[in-house]
Amino acid sequence: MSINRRNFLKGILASSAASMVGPSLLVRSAQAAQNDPGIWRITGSHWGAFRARVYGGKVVEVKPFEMDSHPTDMLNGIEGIIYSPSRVRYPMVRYDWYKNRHNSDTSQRGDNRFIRVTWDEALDLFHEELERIQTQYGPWALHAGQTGWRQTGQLHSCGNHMQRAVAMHGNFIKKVGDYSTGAGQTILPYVLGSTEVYAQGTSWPLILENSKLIVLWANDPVKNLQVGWACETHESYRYLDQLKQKVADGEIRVVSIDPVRSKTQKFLGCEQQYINPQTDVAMMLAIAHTLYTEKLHDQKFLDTYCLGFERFVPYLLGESEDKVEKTPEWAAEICGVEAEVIRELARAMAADRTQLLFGWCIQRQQHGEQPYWMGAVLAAMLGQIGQPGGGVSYAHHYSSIGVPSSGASGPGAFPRNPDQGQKPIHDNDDFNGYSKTIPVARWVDAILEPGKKIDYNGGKVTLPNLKMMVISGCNPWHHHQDRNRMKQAFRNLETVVTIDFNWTASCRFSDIVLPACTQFERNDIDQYGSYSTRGILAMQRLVDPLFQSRTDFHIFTDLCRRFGKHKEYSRGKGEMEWLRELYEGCRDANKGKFAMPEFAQFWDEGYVDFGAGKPWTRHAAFRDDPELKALGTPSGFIEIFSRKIDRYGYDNCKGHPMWFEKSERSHGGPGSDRFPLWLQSCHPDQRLHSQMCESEAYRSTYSVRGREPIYLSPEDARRRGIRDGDLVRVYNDRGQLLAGARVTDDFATGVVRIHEGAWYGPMDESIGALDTYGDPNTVTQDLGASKLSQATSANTCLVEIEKYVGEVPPVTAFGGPVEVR
Amino acid sequence: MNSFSELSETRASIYWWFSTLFASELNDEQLQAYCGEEGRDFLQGLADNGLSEEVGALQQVLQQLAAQDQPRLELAADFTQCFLVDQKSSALPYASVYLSDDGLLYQQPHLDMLDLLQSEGLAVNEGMNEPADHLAIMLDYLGNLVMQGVNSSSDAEQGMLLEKQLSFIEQQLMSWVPAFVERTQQLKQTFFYPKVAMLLLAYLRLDQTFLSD
Repeated sequence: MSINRRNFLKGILASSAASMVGPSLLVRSAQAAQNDPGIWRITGSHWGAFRARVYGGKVVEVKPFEMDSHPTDMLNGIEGIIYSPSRVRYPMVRYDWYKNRHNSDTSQRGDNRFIRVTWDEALDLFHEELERIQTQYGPWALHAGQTGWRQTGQLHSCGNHMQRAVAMHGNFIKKVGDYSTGAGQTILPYVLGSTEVYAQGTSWPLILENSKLIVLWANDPVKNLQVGWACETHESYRYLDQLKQKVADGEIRVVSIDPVRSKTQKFLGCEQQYINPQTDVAMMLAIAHTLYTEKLHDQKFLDTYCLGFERFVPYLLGESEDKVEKTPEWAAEICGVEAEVIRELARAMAADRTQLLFGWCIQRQQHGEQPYWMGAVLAAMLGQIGQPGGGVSYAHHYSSIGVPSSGASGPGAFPRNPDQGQKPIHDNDDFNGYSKTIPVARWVDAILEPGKKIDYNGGKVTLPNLKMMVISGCNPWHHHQDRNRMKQAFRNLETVVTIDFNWTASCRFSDIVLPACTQFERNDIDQYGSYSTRGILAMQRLVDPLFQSRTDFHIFTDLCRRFGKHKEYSRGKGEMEWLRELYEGCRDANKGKFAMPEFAQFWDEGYVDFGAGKPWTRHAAFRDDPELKALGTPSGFIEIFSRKIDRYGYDNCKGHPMWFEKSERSHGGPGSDRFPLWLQSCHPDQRLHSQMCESEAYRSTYSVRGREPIYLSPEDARRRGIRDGDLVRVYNDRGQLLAGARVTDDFATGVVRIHEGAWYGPMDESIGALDTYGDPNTVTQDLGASKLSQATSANTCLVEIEKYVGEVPPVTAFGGPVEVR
Repeated sequence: MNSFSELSETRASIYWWFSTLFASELNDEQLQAYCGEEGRDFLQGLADNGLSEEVGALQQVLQQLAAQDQPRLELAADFTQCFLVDQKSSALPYASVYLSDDGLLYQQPHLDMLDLLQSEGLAVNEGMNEPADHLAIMLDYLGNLVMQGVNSSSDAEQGMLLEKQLSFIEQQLMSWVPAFVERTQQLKQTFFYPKVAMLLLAYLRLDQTFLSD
């Protein structure tokens, strides 16, 4: 088109636009051009400590902390977190809720318009809803108890901020347990006297020195040690390197018992022992049967340190309960491991020092208490508990457990609860007959079946009638099971408030969404080396909070301002005052033991290292003196038979460990005729749960045609006409998802895997809608592990898959890159 | 005939008008203006200059909007849906999202804009905590660039400034605005701003042709 220059824009007067033009977005600036290369700052994360170069207010380079000899590849995803197009940039309210408040059309949740509001308006709405819930209903209608892997940092730990602030306003429903170790942490206090899953374990140097056989039971430390609860510095990997050498030199035999060839098995080059999914207890019972019938068990240990072996033996020999003898031949039918292999392994375990190392996956299933209990029974029969390189561990794949503790104290945290003596605005403690605390994984049950009474850990829980949820530092639309059931449940909630830095699925299903900044936009303090407390790290703010995001501290101080509690909340102190205080408290606690400089010097230098700790053996003190150093179990001994649990009278968790058939099980088990594939949804290799899934470039290093990978065996692929790289539909009666096929020899027939934490991106808000990215919890089962723990049973899940042939929908889980044509 | 300075003022006003539309939600006064004489005249002026199709679509939406109970709120929700959620629900108005390999925010186009603003003694208003490659900021800057020509003394200088405007439009805007606009056309549950985006693209093309001639 040619333009007549003389007539261009004729008839338009500049002044006519004046009333429709707002103030300029630009200002005159005398700032000189920056030619400096930027500055380096230090900070930490679940993925490790690192230094970042900041230029022009932007993180432009990340390099691992020099004390970290095995930094994870995931540090490459950090920039993708800060600058993700999925970030929540402004306070938002779901538009229909904005207009109709708690009377909104909740069936639109998940696919509804939002409207931007100011911080003031957002916090007013938040406060008004808290007020309405407390006055119209009571504390039983508010659930502010879901927690999870908040960003690291002791001051800004967001769950603490949310719960302290909400508790200053009124009481609310809390949770007990977590999604990682729900069954394990419930059963093990009965058996070994502590959760074991969150406790320091026998030091790696002692294992390397003393163990002759290490059994990795459903355990993949090389994968899982990449991330830590606090700032991780990956010291365990030095020991895994040494173990690899000892395996190569024939000094230590390592057997990985797993349906899958794990990353660890391949790294160590150790033995692989396939087992049918969910049948571990059967195999363990057969090992116990061999130990007992061949008199390889340590009767003296059992007599001295344990309780109730004699009540367990009849079950083993088929003289009680099911009247079935738990022979290796019996087990072989179930677990798919040949009887002779089971016998050989039992004999090898008894022949020399044997360390059992369990992962967490086998307790994230129905009857998840049983494999952990039975693992303890095996270790007890071997009689090596409390000896270096012997016994049983449930956590060597987690947060530097096994790295000797320095013995130093770490810094305290911002308080989770109101200070002593403070009363909330609404101190009504009447929960209307409902339970104040619920098992963590049963909140969706509560929304769907309020008032229902369920068994839990020896007591009864009455599920509360939840009307409002406040979600911070976690993503329930990742961590809970059965999305379509959740969709149904969320229609019953009147108001959902989520505080996050990303548009997670939880945000999409919320009514008020508040933008927190990332941990890289605030100053904080943390210990590094996780459980080993290797040192203290300054987490220096890399950049200012982006867009309108704020620190959780800022958000909740301003919420408390609305009911006059902001001074109590912050104790009148700002960020740097709190950091100084937390540091000084730590310095006091370490006085005379570990030298720590003044705060200013520490902040400037970036860290204080406490040095390596001394090797230590778990339960050695108990072994030395079982009376003086009794375990925390009811009897003080290792409880092979629990009178307490027996008295509960549960049908799915009895007085001693047992084999229970599952509601769904592959390889000939229930439901496998219709859905023959077992879906495991273990912790991801390239994320921390759902965190970093949003990191675009990093996700593209593992996604398949833009989808989460599903790993499957060549045989399963062949039978279904699926090739590596194909798009497949994964489905069962609960839901359906799209994923990208990765065909690999590492997987046995009948076994498939999708890593948990894949973001949920359904086609729309309707129930049953296809998930476009590949969230395994679209198809998992929302079922309590047993009446004891009521924990998640995510790994009790069968599916079928087929090559996807329809029109390919775009991925709706993220704000992904857009191609410029 | 338009004088050069009048024309410049008009062109700058149009860019600032677009900038305002993409910067934030309309307030009551602005919305009033759209529904009043000024707004009608201004839009008609654009329609008379070869943009009748795009303007017509916009006018139609404005008429429908007038019948709504809370037109300002409806527009605000539309603005949010179009630009403020994430790239799943919205079309993010940042060059980086379309021009960087990974679709991230605050990438090279942001740094380039920062440098450019700095070289001209400008900076983004602190109250607007947005990356410099936000469409509204880039359009605001373009308006300023257009106005630089008003004070220029020679034809040669004017020519140079027109060149500079053309190059900014071609390189810094047309490199991604078409993709951004296309994205707005795919959005669900939107009505007003995708039309504004279409109008912007058409106007940029028009101005580009003007500058190329």
